[in-house]
Amino acid sequence: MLQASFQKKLPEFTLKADFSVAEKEILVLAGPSGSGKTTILECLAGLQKPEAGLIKTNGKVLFSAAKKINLPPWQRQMGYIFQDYALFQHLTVKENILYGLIHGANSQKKAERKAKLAELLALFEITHLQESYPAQLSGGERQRVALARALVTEPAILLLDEPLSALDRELRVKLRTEVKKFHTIRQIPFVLVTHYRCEIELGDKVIYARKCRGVKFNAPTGLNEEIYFTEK
Amino acid sequence: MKNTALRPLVCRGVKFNAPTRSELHKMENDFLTPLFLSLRVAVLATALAFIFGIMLAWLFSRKSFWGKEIIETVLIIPLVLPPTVIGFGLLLIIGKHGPLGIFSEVLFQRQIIFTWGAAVIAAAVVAFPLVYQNAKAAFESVDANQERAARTLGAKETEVFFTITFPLAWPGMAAGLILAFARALGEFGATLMVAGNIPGKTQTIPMAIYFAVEAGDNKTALLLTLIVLIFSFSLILGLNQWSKRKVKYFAAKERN
Repeated sequence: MLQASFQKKLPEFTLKADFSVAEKEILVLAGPSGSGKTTILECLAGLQKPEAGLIKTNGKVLFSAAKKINLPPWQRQMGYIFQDYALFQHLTVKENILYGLIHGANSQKKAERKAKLAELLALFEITHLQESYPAQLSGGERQRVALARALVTEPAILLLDEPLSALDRELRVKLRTEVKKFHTIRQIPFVLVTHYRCEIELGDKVIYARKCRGVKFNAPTGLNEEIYFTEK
Repeated sequence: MKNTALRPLVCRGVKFNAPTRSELHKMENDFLTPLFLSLRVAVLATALAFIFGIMLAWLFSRKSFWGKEIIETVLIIPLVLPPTVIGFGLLLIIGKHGPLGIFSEVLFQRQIIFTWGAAVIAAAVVAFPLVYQNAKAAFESVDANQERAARTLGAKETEVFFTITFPLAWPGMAAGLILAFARALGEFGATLMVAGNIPGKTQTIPMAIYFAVEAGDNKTALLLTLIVLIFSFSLILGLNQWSKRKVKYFAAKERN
């Protein structure tokens, strides 16, 4: 369960978000590029700080402007799939996936790490790639490594930034089903931002960017405007 | 008869293989002492330049504040200044009447100038811009999303730096490190002004070569030159090979 309601001032407009995601739900935030979708994910993950509002997961406060709480990313338990996957290019696939288990808040014992690694490698069918470097992988393989790396720490929520945009059309269709499949296995809320129709279809719930309440927009934004990502 | 025929040969051999004590002493003074002093000065100066260069490069590549451009210019300017200007500037700071000179005199009852420590400072100052510039460019080229990915995976800021930022920037920084070491090893002008040419104490290889040539001792100068050439050649060759192996993941051919 994720509840988010916050405001963030961007150079060109003010972003207002107000939504919640239930357990086992995929929420899609849809809007044209430049509408602040990535900013929303970054605010959820703690990579950016909103000016006002409240963000809670399972009753735990991650951000509260009123109480001056702003947990750093490493305390938030949010998995993040970056648009370009952001795999660590100096580490092998295996080292990439293990990163979250070796460093920081989620570090675990060696035996547990090994079991988890084997499980994820098998789940994503990348066991044969574990000694490769990211530069040697194809787009689809990279995406699966990114998913394995993000899920290894057992995050409370998975955030996905246009996860299929870097792939060609054929792969997109295939991986869309895979994302859905992994979601049913993991049973955690997904928040996905996109402007692609094929990704929007993944959502159990879809929220479109609006310029004023109730009005969808497709034109680029102007100065002093407000963009809403709200359920109401 | 056989014995006498062999004799001159043996004599010559002995003479060649076992130099007298004074000859050995001269060899040590002329070649080994400057060589080891040069290495010690260059290694320490590079280490100093590396530590400060990387700290400042990281800071300046991430933060912006008022007057940053001016400080940066001051840090890089030794690259374009004549060595004598750097030497004189250093004399004003660490010399007998300079602030750091007085500080050291009061605290340790010692001068800084005309010691091998002064040679280290001079070499570090000229080597610094090379470390700094390469490190800054390397830090700026590190993909910020990879650092952020590490944060979302539970890494704290220091961990992000040592496990992601530094290794990703390393190939670029290594280039600066090699250049800085070479520059420190070859430092002459500023070193001469602040450390002087005291054989056995502050006489580095470049000093020894210059003063050997001036004294007409071309043989010594040639040998020292050869030592520097062989050393520099193998250093750069070795580091390049090592660095190439380290960065294979960057060179790996992309396929999509």
